[in-house]
Amino acid sequence: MPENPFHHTLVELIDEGIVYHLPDGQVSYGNPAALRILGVTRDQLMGKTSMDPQWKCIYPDGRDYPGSEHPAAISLQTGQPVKDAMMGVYNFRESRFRWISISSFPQKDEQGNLTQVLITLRDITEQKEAEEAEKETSQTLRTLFDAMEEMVVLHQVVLDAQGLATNYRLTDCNRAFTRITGISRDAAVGKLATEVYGVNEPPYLHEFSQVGLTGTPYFFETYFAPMEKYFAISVVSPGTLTFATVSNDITPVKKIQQHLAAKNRELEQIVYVASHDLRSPLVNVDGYARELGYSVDELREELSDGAVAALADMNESINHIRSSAQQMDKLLKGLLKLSRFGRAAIEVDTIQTKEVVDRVLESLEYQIQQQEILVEVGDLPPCRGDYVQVTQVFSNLIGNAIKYLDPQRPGRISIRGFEDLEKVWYSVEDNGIGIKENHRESIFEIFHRLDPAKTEGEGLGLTIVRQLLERMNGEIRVESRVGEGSTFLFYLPKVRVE
Amino acid sequence: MNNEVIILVAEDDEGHVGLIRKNLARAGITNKIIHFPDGQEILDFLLCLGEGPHREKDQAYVILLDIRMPKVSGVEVLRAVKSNPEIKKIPVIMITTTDDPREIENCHVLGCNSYITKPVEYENFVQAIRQLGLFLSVVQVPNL
Repeated sequence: MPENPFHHTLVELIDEGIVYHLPDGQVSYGNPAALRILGVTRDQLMGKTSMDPQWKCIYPDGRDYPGSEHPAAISLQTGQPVKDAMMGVYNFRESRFRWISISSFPQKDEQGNLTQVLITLRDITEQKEAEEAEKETSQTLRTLFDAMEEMVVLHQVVLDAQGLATNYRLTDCNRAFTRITGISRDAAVGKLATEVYGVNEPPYLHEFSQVGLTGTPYFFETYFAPMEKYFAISVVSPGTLTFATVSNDITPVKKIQQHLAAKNRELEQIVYVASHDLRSPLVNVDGYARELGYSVDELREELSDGAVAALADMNESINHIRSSAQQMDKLLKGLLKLSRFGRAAIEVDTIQTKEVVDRVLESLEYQIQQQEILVEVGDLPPCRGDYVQVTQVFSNLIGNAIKYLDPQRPGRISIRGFEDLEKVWYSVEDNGIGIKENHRESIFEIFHRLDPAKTEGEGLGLTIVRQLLERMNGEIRVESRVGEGSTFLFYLPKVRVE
Repeated sequence: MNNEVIILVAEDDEGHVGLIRKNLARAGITNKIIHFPDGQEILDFLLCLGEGPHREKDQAYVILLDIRMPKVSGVEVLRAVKSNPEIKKIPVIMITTTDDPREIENCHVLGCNSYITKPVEYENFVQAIRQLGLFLSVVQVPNL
């Protein structure tokens, strides 16, 4: 033990464990830090050797650490110091291994004889545990990284002498990258983009280097010609001049979208051509029926009474032909109109819904006053949509509400709106005749009319409303009670707050 | 010089031609009418091509065009007429079944003078033809 009182105090206070061994290996002193680290009392420590079977020591890899390999034992045997051996020592007081870094220093007298061996014990348990936790985290992340469906690639921007980005180097990639591109990790990591992809210009250099230089994330969809694939790419910068790309292969989705769009165009074309060409013969059916009518009128002047009766029959036939031709024409016009709405370009903008509704009500003012309808307009938050089409939606719904009021009681219509997280909901509510439950879906079908005898219309209003809302990423539904009224509830995308 | 305007009707549907004739007559328009069953024949006539009848100099014409016709569509005939300095002054009236605003807009951009939708409701058609008669009597039809 230290003989100098100052040294003694120092050794008693120090945070590093210090143990003295006599030349025979027995412990002659252990400072409080050593006792704490090893989890023993001074009495338990004194007189022990490193060879004592009571110690339970392991190497970092879990193997037993034999007493003969203990730094103290080595220094005792060889007379040489040992630096920073790492050892796990079971601390019986805490019931756990403490990790220590042990160094041993042999001390000799003037003749060179070993007098004692001093060992220092540095407790590195927390440090080692932190390292292990980090290793575990990074292993977990690596596993996730490799299990991801998305391709993830880390890159470093390559700058020229002027500080301009000229290329970028791949620094890591996951398995999805290899699966989708067919490029192995070895062929990618550490290589320049131009080498990896076999191109002269690094793909998307501008977009990517901007992210690496500014740190501002970027997202885009693109067609990557060399692979004939569509990707949705999200680019983020984990540090200066580095960027990570997370790419989704959206080729199958794109293919389906393109297929659907083509089918839609085809269908609309068919509807357009069919209804257009079908109207042409109808012009003749109706036109010549009318001509027949003229001839009948001329004949009437010259014929006997008996024949005139026959002419009345002819007139009736002519009227049937003509009204059917006109009915057919209305339907075809309806189809044309619907196909036209389907083909119209939409311009999505912020819509001041309150203004839209006020305008629609203004255009219906005459009817509203005539029928003494009470119209209430509540809060109407703005939404995203096409101005003309949103106007059309409100116009059709409010028009319907007026049309299907119950003449037996004063009409009341209220138009309201509210926002949720992503959408703006609007409702057009009336106290009209209501809709039977089994009709609630069919009212949206083309040419469906609940009471054709009593009300005017082509049976297109709600079909158009649903079609327009769908094109603007909205949706509509109806709630109704027969005899009490109906509420049409629909939503449109909310205005994004930047 | 012959001042009697000749009405050129390009229309593939014989029935429609008959109705147009009858209604023009009923509206008091008795001008000579020449009928062409498709866009190609009226173009041959106007541009003096092929073996059929040809346009005469110093004769005033008005063209009634259907849009959907075999071989050459009415819109193409309209474009050809309006881009040819020799005949671009001939008034062109589109008479067709579509009331598609884009199609109408397109024809006006190309320089048609009037656009009439062939309505199935006969009274409207008669009305349209009357207006056409009025148009023909008001508009100054240039001699070529």
